[in-house]
Amino acid sequence: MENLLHGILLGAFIFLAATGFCLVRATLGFYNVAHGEFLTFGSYVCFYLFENTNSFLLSATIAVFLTAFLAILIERVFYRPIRQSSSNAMLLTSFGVALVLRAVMALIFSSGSRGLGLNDPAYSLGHFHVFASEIFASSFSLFSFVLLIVIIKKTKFGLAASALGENYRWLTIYAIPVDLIIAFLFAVSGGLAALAGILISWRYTLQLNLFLYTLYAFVIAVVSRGNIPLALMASCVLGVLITLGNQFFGSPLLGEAMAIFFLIIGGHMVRMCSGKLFPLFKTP
Amino acid sequence: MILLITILSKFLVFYILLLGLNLIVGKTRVWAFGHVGFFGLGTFLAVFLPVKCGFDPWSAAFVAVLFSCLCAIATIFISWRFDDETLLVFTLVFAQIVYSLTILVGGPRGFYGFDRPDIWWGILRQDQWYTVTVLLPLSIFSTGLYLRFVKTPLHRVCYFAKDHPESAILFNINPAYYRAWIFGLGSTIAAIAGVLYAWLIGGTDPSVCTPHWGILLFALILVGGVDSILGTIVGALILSITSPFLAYLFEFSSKASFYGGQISQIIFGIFLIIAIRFFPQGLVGTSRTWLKGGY
Repeated sequence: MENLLHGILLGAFIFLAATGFCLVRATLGFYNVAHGEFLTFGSYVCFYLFENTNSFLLSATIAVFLTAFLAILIERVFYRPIRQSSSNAMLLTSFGVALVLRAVMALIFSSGSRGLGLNDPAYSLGHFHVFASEIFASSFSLFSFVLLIVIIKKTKFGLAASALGENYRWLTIYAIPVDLIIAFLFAVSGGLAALAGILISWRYTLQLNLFLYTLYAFVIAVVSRGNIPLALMASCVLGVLITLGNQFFGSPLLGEAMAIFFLIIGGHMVRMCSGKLFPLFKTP
Repeated sequence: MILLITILSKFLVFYILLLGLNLIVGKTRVWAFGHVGFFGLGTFLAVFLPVKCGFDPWSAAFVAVLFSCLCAIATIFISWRFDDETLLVFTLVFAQIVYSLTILVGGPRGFYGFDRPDIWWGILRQDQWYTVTVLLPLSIFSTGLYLRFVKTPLHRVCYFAKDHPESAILFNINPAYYRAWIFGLGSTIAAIAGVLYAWLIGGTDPSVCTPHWGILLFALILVGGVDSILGTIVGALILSITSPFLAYLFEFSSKASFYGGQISQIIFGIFLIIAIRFFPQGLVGTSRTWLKGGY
């Protein structure tokens, strides 16, 4: 039972890290591999601001906005000029961007893992212990999930964003501000990634190599095909599988890798078998 | 001189590794980001079996290549019915599993100090030319094999199955079957390169099979040019020369190799962005088009 709870809480971190990735996949049809670098950037900016200001809330807010700005900038400079070409070209460009960002951050921020330098108090819920960072992560995950669903389903802006994934050129004919929508999506993606990075470094360690979270986001996006409710479910399942895998294999890295492996197999089997039974599993 | 021989040896290893990747990407369009996993597995087993289990280096090399080949078959078998995106993630997950296993068994620093196998009657065993004398004939042999393959009917069938999968099914050709064959062959070549790399550096460490490095290799294939021997040579040259050259430039610093590694990544990244935007056929493909007067 405790494993289940901790797995779901870990799933909240994964969902926050993967949401932006799924949003970009669903609307622009490519996997933004540079997304993982937004996590690192957000967490390091927050760390350095926190060292100087001693206000976590202020540092986190500035870090989230700065990362959102970085995401918009990257979209404007690297992705917009090749938007007309295939999604493969955008994916490969995102590799280039990821390589450059990662190396630049390694040169600026010193490597090696450390703590964020902020206390993470534990609260007792009956037999269970829950950390403050986990409460924040699950609250933000639920909040962002509800907000994204409301925006996508109930607003014109969200409908336009959904339509973007269907046919990009038609939207330009109807004079819908496509560039603005995409910039907004990248801002949301970057902001959520920064938030995830900050919470991960608060709960675990601050490190340059957050590739594993990019891999999680990749897997969640492949399994859910950009469907947000399905992404939330897949994140929770992955969190539980990782918790169980870590215990079973006795090695966190191996447990995580095996959890991802089983999630892909399971995800595809569920989609192949129950596409007709549960409309939720239908891809957008 | 030693530096030059080391660079030449690394170039030859990377050439064989990239040749396998180019075969997969060029002939099947499978984006095997985790190709490096098979390389890592080859390197790891080639060292682990002699050091920890008492195998002799030749048997270890054979087992390493065979096991990697079986893993490739298993990967393709599991993802047989899935789409290309899933296969892509599968290869990445495989690389991550190999990376985790190498850390779990060998620790973050890996293990070094195993005896290289006797080749050329033991004459060059301790010599710096040892790996070059092994790698050069193998590189020439694998290039010859690749060029021979290009002229076979099997190659034409592979191309047909890759470019027109629906039509191929009408002709009773199963594209997945040929994709599996090529994937297995490319992965086995990667494992052979891995064994040779272990002989070259005299050990193994987990850094040779990080999934991130796999993505870098894939980028190099694209920069050089997919489905071309020259493109593979360009990719291997960039990979083997850039890092030592930049480390040499930063010789004054105590972190020369760190700076060299990071700046070479920035250069690779910028190369890739420019190549995708301005040279979508890769450096070699675009140069050929220019030479023919096109573009």
